[in-house]
Amino acid sequence: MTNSKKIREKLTIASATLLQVTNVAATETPDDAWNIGTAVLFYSESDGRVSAIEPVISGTKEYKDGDIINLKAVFDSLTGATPTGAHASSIEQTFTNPSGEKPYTVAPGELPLDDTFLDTRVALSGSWNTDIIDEYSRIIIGGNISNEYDYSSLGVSANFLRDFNNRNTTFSAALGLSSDTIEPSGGVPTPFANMKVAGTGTNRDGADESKTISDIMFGITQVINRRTLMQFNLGFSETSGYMTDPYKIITVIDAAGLPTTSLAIDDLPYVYENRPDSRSRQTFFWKTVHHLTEDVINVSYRYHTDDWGIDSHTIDFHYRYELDNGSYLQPHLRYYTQSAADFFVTSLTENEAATATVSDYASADYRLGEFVTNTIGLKYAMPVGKNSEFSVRAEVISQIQNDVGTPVGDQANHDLTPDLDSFIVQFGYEFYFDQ
Amino acid sequence: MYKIFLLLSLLLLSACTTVQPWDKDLLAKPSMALVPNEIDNALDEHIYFSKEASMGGQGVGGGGCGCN
Amino acid sequence: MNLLKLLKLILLILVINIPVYADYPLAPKFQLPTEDGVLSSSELSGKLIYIDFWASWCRPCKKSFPWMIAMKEKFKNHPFEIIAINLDKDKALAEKFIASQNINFPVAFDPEARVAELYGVEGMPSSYLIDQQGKLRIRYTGFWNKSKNEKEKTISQLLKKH
Repeated sequence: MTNSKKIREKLTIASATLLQVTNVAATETPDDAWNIGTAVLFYSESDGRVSAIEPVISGTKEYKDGDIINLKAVFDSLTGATPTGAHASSIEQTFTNPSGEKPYTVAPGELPLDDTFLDTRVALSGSWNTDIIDEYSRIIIGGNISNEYDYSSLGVSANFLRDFNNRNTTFSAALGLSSDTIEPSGGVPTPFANMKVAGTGTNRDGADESKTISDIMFGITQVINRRTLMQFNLGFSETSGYMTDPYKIITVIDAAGLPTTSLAIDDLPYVYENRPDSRSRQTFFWKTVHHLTEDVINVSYRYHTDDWGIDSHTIDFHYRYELDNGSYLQPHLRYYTQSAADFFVTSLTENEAATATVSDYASADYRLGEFVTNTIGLKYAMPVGKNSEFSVRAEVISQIQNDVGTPVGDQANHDLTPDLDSFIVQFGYEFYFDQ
Repeated sequence: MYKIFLLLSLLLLSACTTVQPWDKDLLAKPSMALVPNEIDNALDEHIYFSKEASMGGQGVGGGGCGCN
Repeated sequence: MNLLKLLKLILLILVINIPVYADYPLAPKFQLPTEDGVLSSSELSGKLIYIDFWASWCRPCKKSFPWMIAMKEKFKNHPFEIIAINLDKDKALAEKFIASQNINFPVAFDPEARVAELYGVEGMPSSYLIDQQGKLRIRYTGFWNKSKNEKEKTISQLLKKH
């Protein structure tokens, strides 16, 4: 027995004892039954930031005529606090909540977070996969709808796939269209207008805004050899409409790097951000799936570029390590790096804030900054009885923000682009439901 | 970037051997799907989309045993 | 390859399941091990034969078994044979599936796909109808619910012709 086989056996025994695996005979998956996948994800960020619980349920059924239907529901319950875009300062800072009625203060040296943000989201999606054209082609029609208290989205997609070359090659072409509407709490803010002191009005008066996203994607999947499959995709996306975050602000600093005090009556030293109303994105994606003697490697690379100046690279790697009784361990590594948007700033000077118009763009939203995200995770899955599987996975996500620009005065005493650590744990159970 | 895509696609198509239908046993395994854990994938995509400025890219693909 | 054959090949690729052979070539002869002996194609001469190439990892292959079992039962009083040729590299996987079905026809094992290659198998499953003169009449690639009735009719017709 080779060393690797010994390790595999040891791990199988260890995990079996830990989770009391019952003996499994891989049986035939039942026809005419719904394949149901359920999972619940717990997400938690460091430093009192966002936490979320996300239950998911997904059902797939294959019909005798070859059609496949999928229905999925995802619930998102978010709590916690999220950065507003204002940065930490050596003085105590006061902000106003989105409705304009309540103030909240942030201690010196602390990152300003808005915790009035509580969110529950429901998303439903469905797809119909059919070979109605001919035996070498498939069409997948999809639809999705999601809703939260201030945001709703409706989308449709159509995917066409065709096999060639004794089904060793597949070409795909897809179209997607989505329409999102936002009704921000307290109203849509005026770009670069000041946040006002609580109880004095808001500079937020628009009712709602919307945006449309159109996507087109071309792909090739190619069987390389008996053990290897590769996929290449090229995607183009155009978004048009309101993309500004109506809750994000930017600190206006004076010459000393502190929040400015030369303000109109009832104004606070923070202005609302503004983003362009169009965005063109292109993505290039490459994935390889390779079967070793027993294990499987799944690795992908994605390059993203857009006209906001954001370039990113993503490498995603999964290694499925097969254990002896049909269970497996799957380590996961992900590396992500992005460049900041052209209009990403950590603050604005008094002059910049005063002269900015609706055709200027600026945002201090950390998600548009320059950073690296590293993820490391591990999943364990085991068969349970006939045709069911239980799984658990845990991941650590570490986002490391790079400094952008040169700090002014007091700004040098604070981290203007703080890092973010998050942790996820997910439990999953998949089974067949016979009608 | 489109030139790279085209070049790689052509390289890919010319470099591979045609795999016979009876040799697709490994490719037929669920572990060899392009996206073997769809729920994990969807949840992850949602997390990263909420925390980063990029999204998508994966699309839908072929592969597997190519039966039928 | 002459123009007619080329056109027929293009048509084959583009159109739903036109698997007819242009000039009914002789079906390749073979000899393969079965569960409990050897099966030789010469034993089957004079009968209408349905050969099905399958594997346990191929879902539509497995789905076709209930239909094949029903066909063998329906035409049991006719000179009609079904032979399922298994292409699994691991025989144990094939045997597990065989044990779960009530198969009423012989299953032969071709793990190195030599006979599959002889027959020019291009997809899984692939089935061939060989007439009573030993000539290849039709090839079906894949298994489709919607073509079950049409296949049954063809078998019926070929049985009548003789």
